[in-house]
Amino acid sequence: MKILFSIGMVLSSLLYASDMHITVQAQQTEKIPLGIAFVGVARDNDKAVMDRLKKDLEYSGQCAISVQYLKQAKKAIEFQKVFAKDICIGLFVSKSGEDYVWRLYDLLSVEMTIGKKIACSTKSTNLIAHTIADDVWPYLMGCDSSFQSKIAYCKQVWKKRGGKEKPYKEIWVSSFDGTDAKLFIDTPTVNIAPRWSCQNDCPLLFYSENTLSNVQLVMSNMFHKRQVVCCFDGLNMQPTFSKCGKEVVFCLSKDGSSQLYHSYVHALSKKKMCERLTFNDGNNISPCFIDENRVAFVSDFETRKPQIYIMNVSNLDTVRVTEGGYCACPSYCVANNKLVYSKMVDHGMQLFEYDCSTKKHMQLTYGPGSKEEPTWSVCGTYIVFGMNEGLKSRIAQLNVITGNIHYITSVKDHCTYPNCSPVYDQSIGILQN
Amino acid sequence: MWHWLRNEHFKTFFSLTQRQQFLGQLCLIAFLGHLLVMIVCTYSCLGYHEHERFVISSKHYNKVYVLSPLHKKIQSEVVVVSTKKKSLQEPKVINYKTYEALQKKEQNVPVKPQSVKKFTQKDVSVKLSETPKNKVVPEKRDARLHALPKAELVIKEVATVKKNSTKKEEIQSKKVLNSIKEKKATPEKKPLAALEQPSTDSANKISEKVDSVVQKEVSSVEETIDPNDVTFIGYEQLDSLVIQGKIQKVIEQSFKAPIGIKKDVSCEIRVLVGSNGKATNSTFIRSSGVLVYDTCARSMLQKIEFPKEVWNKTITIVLGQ
Repeated sequence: MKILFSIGMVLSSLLYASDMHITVQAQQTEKIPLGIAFVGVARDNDKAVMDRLKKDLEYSGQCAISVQYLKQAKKAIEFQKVFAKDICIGLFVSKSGEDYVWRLYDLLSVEMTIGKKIACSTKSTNLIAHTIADDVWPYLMGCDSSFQSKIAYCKQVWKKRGGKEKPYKEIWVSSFDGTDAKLFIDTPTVNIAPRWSCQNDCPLLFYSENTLSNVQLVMSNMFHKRQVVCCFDGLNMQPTFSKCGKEVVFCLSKDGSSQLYHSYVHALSKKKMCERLTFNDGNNISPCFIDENRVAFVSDFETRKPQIYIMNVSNLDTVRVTEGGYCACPSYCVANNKLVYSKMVDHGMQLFEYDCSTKKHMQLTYGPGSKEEPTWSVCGTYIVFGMNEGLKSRIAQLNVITGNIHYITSVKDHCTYPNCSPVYDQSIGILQN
Repeated sequence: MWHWLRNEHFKTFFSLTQRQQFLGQLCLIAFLGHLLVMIVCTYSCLGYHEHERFVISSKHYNKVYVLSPLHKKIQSEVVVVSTKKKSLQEPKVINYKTYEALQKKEQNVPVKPQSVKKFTQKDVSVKLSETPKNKVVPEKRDARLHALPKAELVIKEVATVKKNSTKKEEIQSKKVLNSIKEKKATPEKKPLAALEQPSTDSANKISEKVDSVVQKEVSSVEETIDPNDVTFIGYEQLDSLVIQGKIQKVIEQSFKAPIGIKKDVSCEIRVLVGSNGKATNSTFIRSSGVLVYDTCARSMLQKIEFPKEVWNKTITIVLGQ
């Protein structure tokens, strides 16, 4: 009887034990401890790669990296002992001939998540590190990265010409974090407003060059070969490219005020077409493609103060996005479907973002300094902009995740007009840094 | 059937009469029948595990739960979901009567609770003595409500307010009775109507005061609760809510999501909780697709100790949403 009773109790307890479904949301966040290890005999080049890789992965402030060098490859079970106990993810880098191989391990389950081989015959150590970081990041964080992206900006320099010191503007190109800056365009004139092409397979840099008669639009490939692409009277500047790269919208002031023009290849006749998009007496500047049909731009035709508008290129319908104030320099990011722009707040420009899906504006920056000419990084994590404080102008980078602002140019340099490149398929010329 | 019972050896061994044999057979049949039913039920229930899904994330801090003590579970959860934005508040559990009163007030109908009717002296005394019994939540539930983490138990407050008010009312009624007695004791003869007058007045006063007390309760609750944005729950659901509240508290204390992960990232993990409260096995039902998030979640689950209510049970946890 006792046995029967106990069986009954067990059965009833089994019946009672039902599954429970709970949903919990994290209330706190922390840096993720991540271990990276080089397996094999590490030479100077390999150490440089590992150092750069550490810097890259730590840059956003989301990871805390610990580096190890292992002379011999270990068994997967022993991987947990390589790093400290709190490290649950390990990135193992090794060499296979001249190429680098990386493997990402979940150290809790001791399973390889993913691995890849990188051909490194012509790549610099920095570029190898950027490539590994770009490959690993989406698996780690679930979002795109832009470690191979470059920032082009203008630097003002004083040069002696004819016995007088004159201000010129050069175009410099640096890594995504402002390091490894290199002079790219150094013609003895004022070169402004650099903009990268959007075609991933064709890296080009467009900029406007002052001449005696006008400001012409010039294109340069990554090997410093330049070509004038647009040379009308007045200003020829600020081209923006559609994702397919076949449509361009740019500013021309040949008719007096600055107007937007649309250049494209006609679908039927296959002829190059150039159509005027804006017909008003205001100044229409800073166009940027949102998608294949829509372009955001700045115009003061309505309120006499610059406002952000979005125009449908196919039917020329225009919608004003901002309500009053002094707004300028919109830049669109595909990754988060947001526009960033500068708006005058208490005698200084501050950065604002406009969410194209929710149609809401949000102020991103506060504090002293005028933040101008913002541009999104491809991944949507950083906003690079010109910070004007008095007579000084520096290029700064806002991390949208942490809210930290990091200067990427020196205090001594007067730098303006930053623009972030996409991650190009080929790393050629200046992109090899 | 039951040949062995008719066996002479069996009969002699137990020395059973025919009646006793018959009773024994009956008991045995009944027992075997019960056992059979139990086994069938067990097997049928083993394959069917009921998943109780309660969303108790920070998004639901603002939720107001209305306890319907006569129901185990209530299927239609949300009556109306308001689009109003609220600040982050803790969940509240109110009783159905308070909810009804709130709803009436919302509809601009004058609130007429039971206590509003005009009482006689007797009625008042009876009613006042009954009010503590009228606590909306039974005492057993009270303990669970206390256990509900972060939950502001409005229901409890209402009960205490009532209790305090009843004490006051009792004192008031005693005073009235004393005054009547004093008046009765006075040698002056007054007409009967005049004698009755103070008692009815006092009853009116008391009823007004009771009315005001209920109004107070409603108004105190009303400040924070929108009657159109509540979730009805049964008492079983309240139990689960308490347990889940505990688990949520434990997880929230130790789970630190990686910085910069998108808000919509979430993973679903099935955890087998051992007899020591630690997770003995955790498997991903749905991965987040973000390695750092998954690893963080799993390492956290290995570290925490689950509340006793879920020991030796399998629970499914959805982290983030």
